[in-house]
Amino acid sequence: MNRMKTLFFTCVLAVSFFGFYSCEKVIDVPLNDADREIVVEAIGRNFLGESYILLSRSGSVYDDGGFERLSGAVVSVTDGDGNVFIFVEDLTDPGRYVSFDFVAQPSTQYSLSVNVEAQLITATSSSLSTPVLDSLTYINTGGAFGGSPTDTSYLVFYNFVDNVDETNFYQVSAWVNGVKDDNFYIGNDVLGNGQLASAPLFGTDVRPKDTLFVELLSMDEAAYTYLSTLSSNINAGPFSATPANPVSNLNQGVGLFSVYMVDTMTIILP
Amino acid sequence: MFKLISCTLLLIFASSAFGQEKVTLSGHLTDADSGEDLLGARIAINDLPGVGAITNDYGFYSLTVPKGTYSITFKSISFETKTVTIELQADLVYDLEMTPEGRMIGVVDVTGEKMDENVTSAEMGVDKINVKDVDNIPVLFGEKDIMKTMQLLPGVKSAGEGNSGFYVRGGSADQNLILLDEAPVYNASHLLGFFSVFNSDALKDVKLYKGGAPAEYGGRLSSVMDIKMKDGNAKQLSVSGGLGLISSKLTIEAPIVKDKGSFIVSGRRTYADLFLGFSNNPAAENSILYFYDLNAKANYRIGKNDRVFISGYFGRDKFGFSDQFGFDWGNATGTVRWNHLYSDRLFGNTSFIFSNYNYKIKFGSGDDSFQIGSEIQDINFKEDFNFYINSNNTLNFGGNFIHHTFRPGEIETGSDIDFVLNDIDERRSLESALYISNEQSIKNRWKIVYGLRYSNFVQIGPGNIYSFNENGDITGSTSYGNWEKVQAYNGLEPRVSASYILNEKSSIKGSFARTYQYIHLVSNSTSSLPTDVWMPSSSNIKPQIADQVAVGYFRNFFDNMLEFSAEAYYKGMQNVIDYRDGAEVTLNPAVEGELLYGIGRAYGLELLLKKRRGKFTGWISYTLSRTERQFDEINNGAWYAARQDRTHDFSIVAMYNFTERISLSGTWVYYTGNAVTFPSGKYEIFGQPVDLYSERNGYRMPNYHRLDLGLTLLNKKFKMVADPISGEEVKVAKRFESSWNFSVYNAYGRENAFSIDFRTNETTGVTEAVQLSLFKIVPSVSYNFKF
Repeated sequence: MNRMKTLFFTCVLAVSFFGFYSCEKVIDVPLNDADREIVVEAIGRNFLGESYILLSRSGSVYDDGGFERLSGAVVSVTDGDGNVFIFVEDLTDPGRYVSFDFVAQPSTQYSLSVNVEAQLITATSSSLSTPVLDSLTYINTGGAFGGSPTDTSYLVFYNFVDNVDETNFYQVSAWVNGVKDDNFYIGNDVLGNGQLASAPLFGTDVRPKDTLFVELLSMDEAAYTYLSTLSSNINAGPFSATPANPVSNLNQGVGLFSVYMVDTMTIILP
Repeated sequence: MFKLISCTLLLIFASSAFGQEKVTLSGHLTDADSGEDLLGARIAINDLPGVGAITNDYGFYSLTVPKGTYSITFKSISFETKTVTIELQADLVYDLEMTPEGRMIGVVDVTGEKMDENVTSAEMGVDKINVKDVDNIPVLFGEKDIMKTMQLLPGVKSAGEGNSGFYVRGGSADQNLILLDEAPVYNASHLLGFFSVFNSDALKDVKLYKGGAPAEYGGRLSSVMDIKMKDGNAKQLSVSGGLGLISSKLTIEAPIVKDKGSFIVSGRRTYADLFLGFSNNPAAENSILYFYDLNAKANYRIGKNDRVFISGYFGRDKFGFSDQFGFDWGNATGTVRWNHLYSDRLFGNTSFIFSNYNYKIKFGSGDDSFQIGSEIQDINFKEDFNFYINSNNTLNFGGNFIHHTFRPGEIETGSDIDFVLNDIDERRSLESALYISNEQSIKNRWKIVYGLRYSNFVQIGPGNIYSFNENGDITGSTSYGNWEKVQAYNGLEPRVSASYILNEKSSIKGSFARTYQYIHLVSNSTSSLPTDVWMPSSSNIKPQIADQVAVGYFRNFFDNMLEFSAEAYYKGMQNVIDYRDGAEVTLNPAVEGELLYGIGRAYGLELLLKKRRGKFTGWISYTLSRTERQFDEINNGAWYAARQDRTHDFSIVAMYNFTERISLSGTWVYYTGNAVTFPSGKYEIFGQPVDLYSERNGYRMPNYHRLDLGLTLLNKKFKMVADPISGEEVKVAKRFESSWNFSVYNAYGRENAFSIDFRTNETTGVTEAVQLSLFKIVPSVSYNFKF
């Protein structure tokens, strides 16, 4: 919904005749640099080898040098039964920590512990039940939304049934021909608990003969709150909310610890 | 003790001995040319210093004095003062038609009449706009606009280009009550705030109360903008209009029955989209962009004591792209009124008022379409009385009752669309008030207006009402039936305003007011948009409360040629609303869980220097102010500057009449930029760079300044006609008047920032601050006529 709002208001500005007069220019805005924060991107998934923890540091707004990764940290995830999974640093990708045996289980509570730069960062995340993607359907939207009527383009809908016993939060991501679409779609079951959910991948451009790979992730509320506040940040523009840091579930630093249960499906468009 | 009682009795007998035979002089003051009521006109009895009256909103006055013969002066701004001698031996009705002064602004006033109203009246914190002044102040695209002109006065801040609304004394845009003939106008902006919905050709009077409004007004914390439409020329047909580059308008007024009833119809339409058709940009070519306004009013006098009015406004903005996308919004208001004179000392007005604001956004067309809409609708019954007790006291009392209906989100999908989104429940509430207020003058030195307003708000069913915990999660929901009470609030709102006349040139004033606001505009964006939704107070949302204290010093110089005022105010606000970080405000049935409550404070100093007469007229205004908010959950509970906090706000308006036919005007505004939140760092997550923020509103947008210039050329008003008797040529006024107006907005082309975005440069990969500004120089031409 946020994206839609930003999208059409960007249209407002672009299309209006004020476009004749308005102009953009780069200006110099001095900023007070905040203290450097430790950034933790900790993701658990239910497929072996897909879980990782990425540690880096924040930089100044005008820095163009990339983000410093943090090596030499001691990272582990513990599940509800007390099993400890150690994550070791991937030597080919410094700052990225992986595990050989961690596979996320449904309906389990996990806790993260990261010991880096003499700081201890902890967080907890609960996994829910594994979602099931029922099907991917599509409609031909050639000519809509400003496109030429002879173009064939598709709008793909994902369909799945929500688990009525849980309060669920979802994320859907898409890959077109192996390339990940930057857009991601997040939602919850407040309006449709236990019902068939069907929604379009609004911003994903799919053409004939494309291979579309869709991933449906189920996550807990802390992760959903983080991702929705993050998406407002990324989509910030003149008509958006006052920007603020996404609401994180880490005890310090910025970032997220989330354990996802994932289902995937592939479709090839005609 | 005995001495006290006998003294008191003696005083009572003494005053009743003097108050022996009192008679009442009453009547209506009207414009001799058009028959329009003159409001705020002054009647003074020269033989009794300090005794006088002011006409009410319908031009009615009433004065009760001892029998005798008096010299009485009638005066009104831009009309010729008239003095008559009246013998008052019995109650008398004396109506007067007053002749307008020379048509131009700023004719040198030969009679030297005292226009010292700003010093002597007890009102403070009020800005009045002479609607004729508006005609000469250059505005964007040559459109005369009372709301843009109001923003040139101290204490009133424009929300900036591309933003609808305005801020008064540090309040937010939803805290201004805008009334057109008593009907509230919920969104007074066209085209994202570039123009207001008010066509100044249809207006008679505009008053802005900056917080210390008298007890008859209530419901919004920061200001009341009371706009009165013209009634229509009751003497002859009058047509006026204008053709401009961006819009055109036409106004027709005529009597229904001469001197008894009249009507006025006024319309305006832009045609910006016609120019878009010439564009090379295919996106621009298929765009639809226009707005229109229609004002209509009729009135009729039935007998000596009754008058009936019916007025309405209808306006719409349409924005769209061929038939794939459409966005339209607009207001519709209607008022039916009945004035009745119960006696020559008791005037009453009964009104039925309807107001509706809605918007609709549509994607696609036919079966493949998806439409979201939102609406607010009010039905209001209002009763007001003016009771003119004696020459020192005027009692105003009355009440009103409003039924509000809110439809925050209504969704319609075409049959081809599969996904389902439910409508958000409709909300209903009742807002009512009773007030009583007295204007009293004591010993010709003090004038006090004191009153009390009692307001009440009830949220009623039907509907499902959610309850929330402190994290904003839904903890339950209760169902209510039709008209069932969910939650009630009420409040007492004392209003006091006093002025003490130091000498005939200067006075000091003070005021205190408490106000309650029961409906709130939910807007999570940094700009205000037509899609912002109005929400009522409820079991989850408490009413906002403001207490404002103000003091002022008013002084006139050079025989009232120059007016100076200095006002300082402090306003404290409770139950102010803001949003959780990342709140989901659009189409959220549980939006009440996203709201946070805190407190606010605003204080400032407003200075105004105005030159009213002469070839050169205008004003300079300066406001120094601060407005801040404090919420436990935002900015770690520390006070932070509200977005509309602007330390300095400076305006200069100048109008110069070179000759009878040529006048030049200029406006220069300067203000500190809005408080804004910029990032203080950046990091990477999920492969994307994300901005890191530390303080809320800790930075400022660049300062805004702009010069506008305008030139008005009046075509010849007289023609030479041979006198039928003597054969000589004499000057005769032409019936058809016309003028050309040339204006330039932003004459030196400053690129004022509309927004600043931090983006990664696609070529170099470096983050840079990119400023978007909306206007450089915008010239405009328009042709105006009247006959």
